[in-house]
Formats: sequence, structure tokens, C-alpha cells
Amino acid sequence: MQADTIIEIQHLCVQYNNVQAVKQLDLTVRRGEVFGMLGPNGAGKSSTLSCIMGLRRPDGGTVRVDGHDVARDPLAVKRILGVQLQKSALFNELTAVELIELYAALYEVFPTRAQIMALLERFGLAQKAGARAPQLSGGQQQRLALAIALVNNPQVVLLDEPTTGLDPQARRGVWAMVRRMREEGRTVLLTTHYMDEAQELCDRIGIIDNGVLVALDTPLALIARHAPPLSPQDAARRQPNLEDVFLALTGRGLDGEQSLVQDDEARWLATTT
Amino acid sequence: MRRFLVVFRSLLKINLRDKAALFWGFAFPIGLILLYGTIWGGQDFNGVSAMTWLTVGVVVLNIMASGFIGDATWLTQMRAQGILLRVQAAPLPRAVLVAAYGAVRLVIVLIQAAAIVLVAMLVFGAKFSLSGVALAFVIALGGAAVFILLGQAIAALAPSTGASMAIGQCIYFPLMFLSNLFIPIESLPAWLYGIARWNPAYMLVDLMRPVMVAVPAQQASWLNLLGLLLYGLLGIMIAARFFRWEPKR
Ligand SMILES: Nc1ncnc2c1ncn2[C@@H]1O[C@H](COP(=O)(O)OP(=O)(O)O)[C@@H](O)[C@H]1O
Ligand SMILES: [Mg+2]
Repeated sequence: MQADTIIEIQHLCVQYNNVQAVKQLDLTVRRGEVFGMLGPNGAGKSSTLSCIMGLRRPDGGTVRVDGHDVARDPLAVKRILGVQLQKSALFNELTAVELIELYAALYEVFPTRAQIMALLERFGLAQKAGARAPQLSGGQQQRLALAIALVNNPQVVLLDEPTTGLDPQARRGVWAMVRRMREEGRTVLLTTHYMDEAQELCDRIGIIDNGVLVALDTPLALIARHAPPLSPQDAARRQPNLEDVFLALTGRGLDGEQSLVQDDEARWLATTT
Repeated sequence: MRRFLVVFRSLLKINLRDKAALFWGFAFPIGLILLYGTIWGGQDFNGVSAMTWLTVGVVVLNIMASGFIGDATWLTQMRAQGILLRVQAAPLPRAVLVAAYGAVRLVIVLIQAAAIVLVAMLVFGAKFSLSGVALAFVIALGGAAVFILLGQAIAALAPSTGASMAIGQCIYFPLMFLSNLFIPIESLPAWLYGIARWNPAYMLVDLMRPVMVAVPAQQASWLNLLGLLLYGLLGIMIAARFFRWEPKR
């Protein structure tokens, strides 16, 4: 394992009854980068994350995080990971402050009230400290889930589709949060099926399709290497992008999901970035 | 320990703020006491005050509902919402989670039992000896543990929240009538009694009633204790074997 490698996945296989969700995946994530796993729904992104988080035992291969084998020592790995799953997992009956307190305790972290407020402030939720999850907008719930991912001051942050279902403003808010995590020296591994998100946010991208890694590089290098030349009409209108890369590599497009319109994201974004 | 306390406190808040749980756990049993008290308030059943006899039944009914419906539904809901999975992603030993959950549920059931008994005493003058109530509450704790485990077993087997609720209710309703909780067992045909005496709610009320009210037990205490123990073991075995962090796909 090289010195700057923090996550090392070797020959990972995940099998559900009759579906091979991940097939012999090899992948390394470097310390301090924002790494994006880009792929359509069902590509095997969440299954891969589950194995890194120790939520699922691989059916083949190994995953190491900061030198710890996840299958052998899941607790050591869980301690250094910050996680946000595809479902935001917020108890409806607890307020934002109480949720932070509870999740922090699960990591044996006991923040003071001031520390909790500082964390909420950072995610634009100071006004919502006493609000319960159902009273928060989709974007606010997502930011709360991100705040919870940082309760244990993790070295590595794993985010499963952090912006799916958010409107463009809210997505940009999440991007700002992810960039700040990188500035603090954390490694971020996120999954997405938005090519613009991968291109904007990630230092390197692994394109996953059908449980197989089909390409891995920086966004620019991927485009330079795999995007076919645009037709003259297209070239006049736009630059080649990752969508073209995905199409060239798999013969299919990346299906985007409709985003939902949320409320106060724009206002919040204006005050933080 | 501090971790346990925070988890305990959080789960307690969650339980005490859940409106549906509050209705079924407090309003419903206390409503039953008010209803029974209004109907049978001054009467006697075979020489004991009807209210004292019925109050023990309401306490056991609540313990049974809390396990079969409350625990079963809650666990499946947490699983469906992805909360179990998120908790599993944290480095929390399972024992701490299970202990905090069990402790919270037992505390809640005890508070409910105390509320039921107090209303019966204060509003309808039901009389219990302090030592009898104390011993009955110890038995109630053990019984509640059995029903919590049976609730976990239902949740482990049920594919969804809806299914969990349906299974819980399908077990709860027949057992409510075949149990000596409100309908004296003597009024059942003999063949039904032969079935009812193996019902865990029947066993629990048959242990609790003699210590709270001056009535004899229907069957030997050791038989009731052994039966409840076996139900508890059955619950643990099913729950441990079929527990899932995630919904089935
Ligand atoms: N618990 C499960 N049981 C059965 N099949 C599953 C389960 N989880 C995922 N799958 C299947 O595995 C494949 C990969 O799923 P997933 O890892 O969730 O992909 P992604 O996160 O990229 O959308 C899909 O075909 C999905 O239907
Ligand atoms: Mg996924």
C-alpha cells in the first residue's frame, strides 16, 4: 500500500441472491482527495460503499482503510469514517441538536452545546437547532446528515449520493461543504450519477457501470482520452463532457433524476459562499 | 457508560414524543380503566372488587400491546427509514444499543403500569397493598422483557412496517380475549381454556393477580414462570436468527 493511499479496494465482489452487483473491483483513493464514483442507478456504488463502511461483508476481495482490513477490524474503520447514507436516517422525534448529540455519542464523542451549535452554524442550520427532521426542507435535512457525518472529526468521509433529489441551489450548497472538507485535509469519497457534479467537484473519478470500473482518472484526462470528437454543430455550442465519456465507454447515457425544488437554499447559499 | 446514558436518554425522548405510542401506551389503557370503572366501579367479582381485578388485566394488556405492536412496529420502521443501517455504520457495540433500548422500553412500561394503577386507585378507589404492587411490578418487568423479545421476533420476521403491525395485531387481539385479562377464564368452554392457559398474557396475569388482589392463581407459578421463560427464549432465538439491519429487497 502506497503512503498516500487511504482506501484500497482489491478484487471486490458483492453478490445478492442472483445479482452480481460488484465484480472484481479494484480501486484506490488517495489521502486528501475528493474521489467520485460516477455511475447510473444500480451500477454498484452503494454496494461498494457498504463494504468500505463495514455494513456488508464482501463476497470476495478485500477493503482496507488507512491500513485496517474492514472485514477483520470493522470497529477501527468505523471510528475514522464519517458517513452519510442514501437515506438521511434522522429520528423524527429529535431536534437537530439532539440528533448531533446522539450520533456523536455513538462515536464516543461528547460535544458541548457550543460545539454542537458551531457545527450546525457551519452547515447553515443554526436557526434550526431546535427543529425536528420533518420540519426541515430536503436540503436542510441533507446538510444535517452531512453535519452528522463530521461528528467524529473523521479522516475519511463517505457520502452516498449527497445531492440526489436536491434542486440546483441546494446541490451547490452541498458542493461548498464538500470542498471545505477537502480544505480541512479530509478525504472524501462520494457517489453520484450527475456528471456535472463529478466534473465540478472531484479530483479524480471512477466510472462504474454494471459493477465494473470502466475508467479512472481526473475529469479532464477522462474527457481528453475518451470523449469522441464533437460534431461541428455541437462543438460550436459546448465542450465535450463526462456524459460523452460515459456514452463512449458504455454505449449508454447517464440517466439523471428529476430534481426537487426546495425553498431557502438560495438565501442560505448567498450568506455562506 | 456515558455513551449508554446518551443513547438511553435519546431513546427515552423518542418514545415519549411519539404521539401514536403515547396514545396507545397511556391514553388507551387509562381510557379502559375509566370505562371499566364507570361500568363496574362499585361491584365485586367473586368477593373481590371488580376494579382491582380488572386493573391488573389492563396492566398486562398494556405490556402485551407494547411488545406485540409497539416494539415490533418501531423496529421495522427504523429499519425501513435506514436508521438501523446508519447506526450500524457507527462503532457502537451492539450490546450497548440493545441494553439501552431494552432499558428504555422497560422504564416506559413501568411508568405506564404505575399510571394505570394510580388512576384506578385515585379515581375508583381500587385498593392494593404496597408490597403486593412492588412484587407485581418486579414480575411485570420480567413479563415485559418477554413481550419485548416477542416483538423483536415479529419485527425480524416481518418484511415491512405494515406487515409487522398486521402480524402484531393478529396475535394481540385473540390473546386479549383468551387470557383471563378481562373475561374470567371460567366463562370459556373447557377446550378454549386448554388453549388459553398456554398464552403468555394469561401466564403473566396469573402470576401478577394473586400478589395484587386476594385471588388464587389458576395454575402453578412455576408453570407460568417456565412458560414465560420459554416464550422469552423463543423470542430471542427468532430475533437473533432473523434480525436484519436493512429491509428485504
Ligand atoms: N439488498 C439488496 N438485495 C438484492 N439486490 C440488491 C440489494 N442492494 C442492491 N441490489 C442490487 O445490486 C445492484 C447494485 O445496487 P447498488 O449498489 O445499490 O447500486 P447504486 O448505488 O450504484 O445505484 C442493483 O442491481 C441492485 O438492484
Ligand atoms: Mg446507491
